[in-house]
Amino acid sequence: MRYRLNIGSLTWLVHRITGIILTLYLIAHIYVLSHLSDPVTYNKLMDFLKNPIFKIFELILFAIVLKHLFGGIRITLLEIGFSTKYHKTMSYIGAFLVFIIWIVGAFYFLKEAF
Amino acid sequence: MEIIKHYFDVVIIGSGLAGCRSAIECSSHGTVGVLSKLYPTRSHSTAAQGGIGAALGNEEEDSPEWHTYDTVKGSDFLGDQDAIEIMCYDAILTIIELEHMGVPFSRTPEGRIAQRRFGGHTKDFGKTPVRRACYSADRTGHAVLFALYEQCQLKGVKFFQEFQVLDIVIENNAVQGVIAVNIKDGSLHVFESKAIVVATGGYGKIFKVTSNAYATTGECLSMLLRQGLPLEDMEFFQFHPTGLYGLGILITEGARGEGGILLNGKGERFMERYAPIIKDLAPRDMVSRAILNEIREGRGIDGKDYVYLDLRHVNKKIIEERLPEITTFCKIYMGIDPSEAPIPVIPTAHYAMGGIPTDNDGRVLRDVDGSVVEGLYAAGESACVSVHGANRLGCNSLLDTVVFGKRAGKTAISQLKDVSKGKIKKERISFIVESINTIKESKGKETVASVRRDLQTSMMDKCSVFRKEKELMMLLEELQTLKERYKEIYIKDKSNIFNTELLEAIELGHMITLAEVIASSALQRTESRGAHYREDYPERDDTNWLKHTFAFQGEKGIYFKYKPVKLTRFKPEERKY
Amino acid sequence: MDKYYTFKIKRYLPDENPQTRWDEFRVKLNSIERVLDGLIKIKETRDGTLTFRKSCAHGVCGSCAMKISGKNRLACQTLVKDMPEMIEIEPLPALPVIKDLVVDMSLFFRKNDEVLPYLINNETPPERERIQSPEDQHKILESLTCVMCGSCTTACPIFWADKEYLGPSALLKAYRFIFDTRDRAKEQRLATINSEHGIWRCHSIFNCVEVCPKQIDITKHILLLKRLAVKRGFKGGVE
Repeated sequence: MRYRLNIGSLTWLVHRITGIILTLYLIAHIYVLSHLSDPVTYNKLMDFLKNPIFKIFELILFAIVLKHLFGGIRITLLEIGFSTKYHKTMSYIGAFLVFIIWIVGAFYFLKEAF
Repeated sequence: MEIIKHYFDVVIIGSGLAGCRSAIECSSHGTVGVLSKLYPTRSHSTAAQGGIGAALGNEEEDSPEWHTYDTVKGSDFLGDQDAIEIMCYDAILTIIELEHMGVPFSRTPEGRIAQRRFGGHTKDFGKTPVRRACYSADRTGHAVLFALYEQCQLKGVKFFQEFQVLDIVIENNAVQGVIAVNIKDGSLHVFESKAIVVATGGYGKIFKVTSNAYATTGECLSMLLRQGLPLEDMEFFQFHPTGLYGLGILITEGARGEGGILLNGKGERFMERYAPIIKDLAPRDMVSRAILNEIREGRGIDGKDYVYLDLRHVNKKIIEERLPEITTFCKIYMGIDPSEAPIPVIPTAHYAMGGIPTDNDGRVLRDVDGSVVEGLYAAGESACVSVHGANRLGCNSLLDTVVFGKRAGKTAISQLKDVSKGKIKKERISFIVESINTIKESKGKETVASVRRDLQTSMMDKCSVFRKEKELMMLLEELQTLKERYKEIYIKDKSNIFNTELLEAIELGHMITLAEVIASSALQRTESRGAHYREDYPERDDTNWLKHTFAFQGEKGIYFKYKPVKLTRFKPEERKY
Repeated sequence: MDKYYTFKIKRYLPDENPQTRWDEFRVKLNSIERVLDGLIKIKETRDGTLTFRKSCAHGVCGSCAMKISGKNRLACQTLVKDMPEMIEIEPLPALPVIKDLVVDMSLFFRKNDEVLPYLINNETPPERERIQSPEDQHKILESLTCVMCGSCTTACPIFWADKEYLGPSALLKAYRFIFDTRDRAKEQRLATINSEHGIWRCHSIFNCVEVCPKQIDITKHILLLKRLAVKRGFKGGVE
């Protein structure tokens, strides 16, 4: 069914998708960690993770975490009584903050990595 | 065609204010079924804006006697004064009962029901306007209708939504029942009953420019007329002075009650000339005629055919708080903010004072001598008690529907034991089925829309605010032509499911009958009174015409009988404001 | 000033084969006319089988709610001059279609019935009106405006996925009675909406607020209900 998207429903959609991805990531992360029982396996895993593609994945993960964090803050503010007249403004400000923090974070992250 | 039978002690046609109020009354002592061609909260009662009048005296001193006087004078002394007294004295308890049922009235700072000024309502027998209209922002009709419908749901009243009535069966001067079609699937339903309450509202859609909804076509009145029952005072149709220019959408009288004034092309407050004392709050028929007079004499805005309703000087907070709906209408449809620009308005067809004649307890009259039809009742705009006479005052209609809706319901229930169960004969049902098939299979060349449009234009041109003998006679001839054209109607939709084209065709036949009654009644009343203004007979003639018109349909056409007006308290006087 | 518009309408005619199809009509409309006027013109002059609900034609009854250019609106309040030249018209989403633009609203109305939409007060009423301060009346003023057109609930993605969800309209109706100081059935209604398919299913998507023709901030009311439910939860359900 086609229905027009607006900032309210788009924010919710992004929040839901980032939430699902984070949940899947968490499961994968715990699975990986649970297999680390000795220094040999640990070093093998660390070498594996030195592959540049994982750096890209981690940057994307960082963006997803930021998005879900600010989305969550917006919803919490609404639920404790912040006026609903500002829900769109909060979405825009949230998106802006995510972008700024991600750029700054990405800069330091890549500097470290390379 | 599927035919399903039902039995109810009382069948109520129409789910507006009058219908719901009588349903609440009837539900305590018998089985009730309410039929409506719309979902109940969509009934046109929801569009009522301004207020419901009662001499509560919450904001300033008031008395039911003054209310009675105002209503009698407003009706141009054609209203039956005993009925008006009943309505005005009952009003106080009625409003309090409504509040107990949950109507969310606007409140005074002390928490009592707030009241505002309204056209024609005065204190001290006409000295100055008085605050008598109880309101809920400017959605009073909506508030009261929702509360009444909700109470019906609480009491478990059975509603048949989107059922259109095709025939009200009366035989041997007794009610037998109703034949209706379920719009959703085209099945025919036969409701046999002991009593029927008709509460179907007005018939504004007969006119081209109207504030009324598409559903207000008055077919139930025509069904009763065709069975030999009379219709009362049909020539009196109120044209509300302030309808949005070009659309007919209503701008409530409450706007003038809060201080709005009418301006002509010269920027003058012309109502000062027509009603020196109460000016813009004069009764609606006077204001409509005043506006059209100004336009005729070339004093419309820029010489065009409308005037301005000016709210710019009214406190912005008051507009926001008490007139939010009309602000929305102006913003959406005209792109203007009433607090910053004046609103273009012209008179629009609004309310039917006439209708099914009843006595003070809602029983439908068969003739001028007061004899009744067994088991048939009517209330609301579709009935004529008559409390509004030749012109209705604002906020009296909501009061009329609730007071007489309750009375009709009460009477229907009290008389149940004396009435026999209805029985609808097979021939009646086959006749209805045949007439539906005739329309479906007709191979003519006319469309429902073109015949209807011509009907509405003719009625608006020749039978609205100003009427003349020559034009009315021409109108009657045009109506005969329309009747012939109606027989040639062709509809494209042959389905049984939600066939609105077929239903509109059926409604149109009844609308033409009603138009004929209105035009003939207007022609035979050779005087001007209230909303009925004859340019060839501009004076009120109490010697010859202080009587109600009863229109009957006979073999040779419409003929008339007369019933005297009940004068108890106030003698007729000149109607000056 | 007249202009030509193309109305692309989704048809559903249960008696024909195929039952669904898209029809296009070109209509000439002026600057104060609305989508409803266009639909009426089409029904009167081009195709009498086109079926849609209409009544008051000025936005107070809620009959003509439909999806216009991808968003739920009232056809009588949508001026054509604010729309693009090609206007897509479909019935309200997620409800069974009876014919063309007419949907079966019974599911929508049943949800309203579940929240006990009537004033319940069995105390002996006073001789005159019950006292209610203007401030108390203002609390429910916005929720009174609802005309039950169905635009909000049928625009809510939660309703699309879960037909048992009470929906914005029913929750707003619950608010209207819970916060009416004259009502005495607060606990019953709170229990109904504080359930699996009640207020907690709302995720503040705001689609309802986008489409409400009376501009009611429905999400704000649902959030107020959530806060009330939480307060009640902490105090163990007592006043």
